[in-house]
Amino acid sequence: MACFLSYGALGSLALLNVVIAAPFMEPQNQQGSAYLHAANAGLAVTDNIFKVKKVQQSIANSPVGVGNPRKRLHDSSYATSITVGSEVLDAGIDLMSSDTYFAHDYFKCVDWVNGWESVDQSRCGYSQPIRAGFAGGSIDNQYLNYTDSFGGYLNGDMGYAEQVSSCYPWHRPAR
Amino acid sequence: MQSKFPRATHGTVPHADGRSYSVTVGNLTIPKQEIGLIYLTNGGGTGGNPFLTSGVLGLGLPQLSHVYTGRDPSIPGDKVSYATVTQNLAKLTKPVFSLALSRNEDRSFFALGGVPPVATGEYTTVPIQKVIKAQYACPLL
Repeated sequence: MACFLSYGALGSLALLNVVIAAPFMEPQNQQGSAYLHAANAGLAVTDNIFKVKKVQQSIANSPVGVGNPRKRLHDSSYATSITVGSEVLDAGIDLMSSDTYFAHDYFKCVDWVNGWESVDQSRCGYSQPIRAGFAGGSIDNQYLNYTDSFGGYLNGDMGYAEQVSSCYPWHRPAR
Repeated sequence: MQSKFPRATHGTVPHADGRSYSVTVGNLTIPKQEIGLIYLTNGGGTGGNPFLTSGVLGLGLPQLSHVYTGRDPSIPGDKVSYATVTQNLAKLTKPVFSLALSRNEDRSFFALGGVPPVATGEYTTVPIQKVIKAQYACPLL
């Protein structure tokens, strides 16, 4: 099963269409069907394509302090690789948020149940914190504040990134 | 009222000026891109399901931002409107992105400006309802 989301961001306004496909494994020589079906839906096939990968989730992957329900959906999380400066980092793809952020090397992992006690960074599930800071400077009076119904919490600064680029380029097979 | 959240005591994330701070996704470069750096967390921010990643690429609607003028989430602050990665990418190509998610990673793609050329059965477009929850209640074109 695969699904496609198309998103039109027009200035501060947005249009969102959900495009659901009924996929099937198909040999490359039938790839033309993608063009036909895309055209029928008013969509264009693009060469700007990048591979995403399934995220390996930790066993203790609930926010620190939250009981860990071991039942997790498989194949529910995907990431793409992004390069910031000289650092290659994985970023989870999130359709329920519009912010792009990374855990900084200085970040503090806290246990919200036990008095916000500081615990080892590894317990917060961020595999490789970013070391670079804001090459373009931080922004005054803008902060990333997030809480969710699962007890998840994060807090950070906003600023302008060092050079960021996407990895996992994918080249279309010869037709 | 004392906040239930810890106060930041570490200062702010260090930064350096005078370097390039453009953002490139694929072959599209955003000259200046705002991102967040996290310095305090309990592993949240990913739908209560922390991933073994370094962060998040937010592709959601602009109203789904969590950037505010205040640092303390227990004190109401104004939501900040800024140009997200998705919005800036939309200025550089067609305002469409698509995700093809498959159990087979070789068939999982992120595409900018259109849809990937992967074989499918049939595309069906379904408009999103204007009001699902409060943050979706924004004017549409």
